[in-house]
Amino acid sequence: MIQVLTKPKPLTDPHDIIIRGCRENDLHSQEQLYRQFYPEMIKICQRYAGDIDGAGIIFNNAMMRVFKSIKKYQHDGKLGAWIKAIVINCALDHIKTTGKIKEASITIITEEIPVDDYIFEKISAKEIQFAIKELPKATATVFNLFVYEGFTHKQIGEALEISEGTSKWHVNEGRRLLKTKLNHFLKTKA
Amino acid sequence: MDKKLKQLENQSLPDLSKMDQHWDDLKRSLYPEASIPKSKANNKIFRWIAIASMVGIVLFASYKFFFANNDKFISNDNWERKPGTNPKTDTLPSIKLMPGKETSTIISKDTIKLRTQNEQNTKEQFIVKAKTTEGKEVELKWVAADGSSKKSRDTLKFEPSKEKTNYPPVPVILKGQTTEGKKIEVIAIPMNDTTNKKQDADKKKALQDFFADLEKESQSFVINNERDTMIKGNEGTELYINANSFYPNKNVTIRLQEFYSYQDIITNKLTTTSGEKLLISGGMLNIMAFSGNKELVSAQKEILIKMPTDKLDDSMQLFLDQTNYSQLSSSIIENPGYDTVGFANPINWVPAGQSQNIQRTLPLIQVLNLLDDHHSVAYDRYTTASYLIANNCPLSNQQVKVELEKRYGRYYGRIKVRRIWGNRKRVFLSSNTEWPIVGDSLFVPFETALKYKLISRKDSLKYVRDLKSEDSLYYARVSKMEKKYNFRITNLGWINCDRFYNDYRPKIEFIVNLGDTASNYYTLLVFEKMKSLMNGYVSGNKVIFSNVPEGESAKIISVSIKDGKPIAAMQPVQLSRKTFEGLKFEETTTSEFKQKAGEMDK
Repeated sequence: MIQVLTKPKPLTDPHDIIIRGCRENDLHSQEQLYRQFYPEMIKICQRYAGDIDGAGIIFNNAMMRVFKSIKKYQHDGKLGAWIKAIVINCALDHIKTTGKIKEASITIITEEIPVDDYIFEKISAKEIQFAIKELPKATATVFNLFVYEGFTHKQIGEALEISEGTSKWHVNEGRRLLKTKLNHFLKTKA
Repeated sequence: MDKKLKQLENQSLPDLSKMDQHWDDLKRSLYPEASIPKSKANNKIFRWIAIASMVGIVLFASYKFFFANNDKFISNDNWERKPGTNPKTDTLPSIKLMPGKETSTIISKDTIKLRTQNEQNTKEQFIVKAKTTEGKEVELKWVAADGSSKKSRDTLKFEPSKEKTNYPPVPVILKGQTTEGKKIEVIAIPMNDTTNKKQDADKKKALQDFFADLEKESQSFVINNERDTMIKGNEGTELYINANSFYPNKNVTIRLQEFYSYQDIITNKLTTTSGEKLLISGGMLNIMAFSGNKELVSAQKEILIKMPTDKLDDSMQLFLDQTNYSQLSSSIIENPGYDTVGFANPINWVPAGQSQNIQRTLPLIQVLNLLDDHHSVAYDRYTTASYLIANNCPLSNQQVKVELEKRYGRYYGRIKVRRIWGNRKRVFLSSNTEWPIVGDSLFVPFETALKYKLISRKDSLKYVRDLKSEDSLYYARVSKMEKKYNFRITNLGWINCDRFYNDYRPKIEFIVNLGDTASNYYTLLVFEKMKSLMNGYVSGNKVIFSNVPEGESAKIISVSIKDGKPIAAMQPVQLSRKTFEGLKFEETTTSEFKQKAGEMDK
């Protein structure tokens, strides 16, 4: 394990004041917390929702849970990570409500498909997001969880009730389809 | 690929357009309208305000009741009375001078008494004017306690009383020269209020004029909209406008301003920031189109822009001006830190999702991977970056460490290396995460290899020789084409070719104390190692530059007006958490300032 030395914490962490306010159901503190984490978390929610309104619903559900369980939060300086975990869980619940992901019946491919890094120098993040949204829903979900959220195949399997092999298949399938889409996109753009 | 996707994702901006709406929805869910809980903190504040108000009312009532008679208040045996003035029978009209407020009263006698409310107000200065009810100004004379006399419109200064028994301070008597019986209005104006405000306004106007003289001239081109047109600017910018881009206008005037040099960017108050993030600029343009006097804000067809550069940077992309002007105007009103005179052009650069479109024709070459692919950075005393070396790397650990220190030693205080076991490229810990490694081989374009110094000088010459075996004219054309950034736009206005400045060092707030009201200065931080400039936030006498890399060398440039003359300071600085003081200002002129700003281009 890599040991990373952290900087000495200030005596009064600004988050502590907000958390105290949220525990007392202070609306102003709740609003501050909401606005502080909105920019970072809305990007995560948008990956799993169809549009910004759906992303807002996921984020609001997550913040409801945050405010209700704020008393359980242990002051270990990882407020962002704690909230992110709740947001991702809400996103997964949202995905589950829209339908269960089926097991893949195709043989598991364990080899990685290489992708030319050169493509990413020509494309923007927004265009990639559009391309990922056009993937089959299950593939896009698993791909996002693996690449952006850093989930392992085992964790994805447990969350979505699929096997590790299916998860690996979806990730590879996502990469393959994404590469095709990006190449096509570049050709039409040129 | 995953790393690239994450990198792109980190650079993208979130959509905040519906944040307020989403918060309102959540608020309604948390607290239905009928029962929005009042904040406990607010309850406490209201309680204290109510108590304070009641105390204030009681005190005011008692003051009025006990001290209603002015004569009683005046009769203080310790006062030095002028002969002939008996405070008990003194029926002179008086005017109470309130700090920060203009007060006036109409008198029919030609003598009036001015006094302050309490001892704390004795430091205030006032100018007193008098005019008839018809509006004609008349002169009054002071008669101060020491018998000295002055005229109205002189500054009236109440000195703090040295002896505590001499309270309240001796009032000043004004004697008029008007005909007795005619009514006059006496007006007392606090000097700090109007005089300082007027001085500040004059300074800001003069500063505005100073920069107006430095504004870059625009180049005008009249084009025939019915034809394809190519426009070339003085500094090498090319615009390719298709026919009927501005339908239905026939003759269109294109105005172009080019800002490539430090001199132009600084003298035109431009900056390179996107929100709070620093950008490195490859050049800025301001393109406007007019049909007669009517401004055309966009074209119906894409305009191809080619911006010249000395050194091509693959990560450059198009940024556009996304300043919300309605929001900005309310910020100016509410926030004293925003000053339209001392502040820069209020441009917020936002990526347009368009990286530059260059035809890549040079082949890939295989090199040793010595990119900055660390697997962790620890922000301890030294800022330590740790790298994993591929098992089959031909160099020893020590050799790799030396190579990495040569390239990235200025970013990290310490570099650690460790060779991985086995031939696997992946390193598994608790997860299946693939960690980046160095020392393996890469296929990269030749220019990338040069940029990241992945090939030696000898090798680069060999490659240039080998690649030159292509048709020389073709190569020359390709090389020429490679030295321009290409973008396509339809919306006109401000255009910027930039890339985000990625730096692993911790970000700090760098504070500059100007020793004077900072909003009367235009202050800028200029980074010399990369073309990046930023404005700071003004607070009192300080200018605060947020989110800057610690330890980076930069230059502070500040301009203001003193005694009606422009002054400027340009000082190099190392960014640290310590407040920077002692900026040395010297008198300057527009040409001197422009020349000094131009020295940074050398």
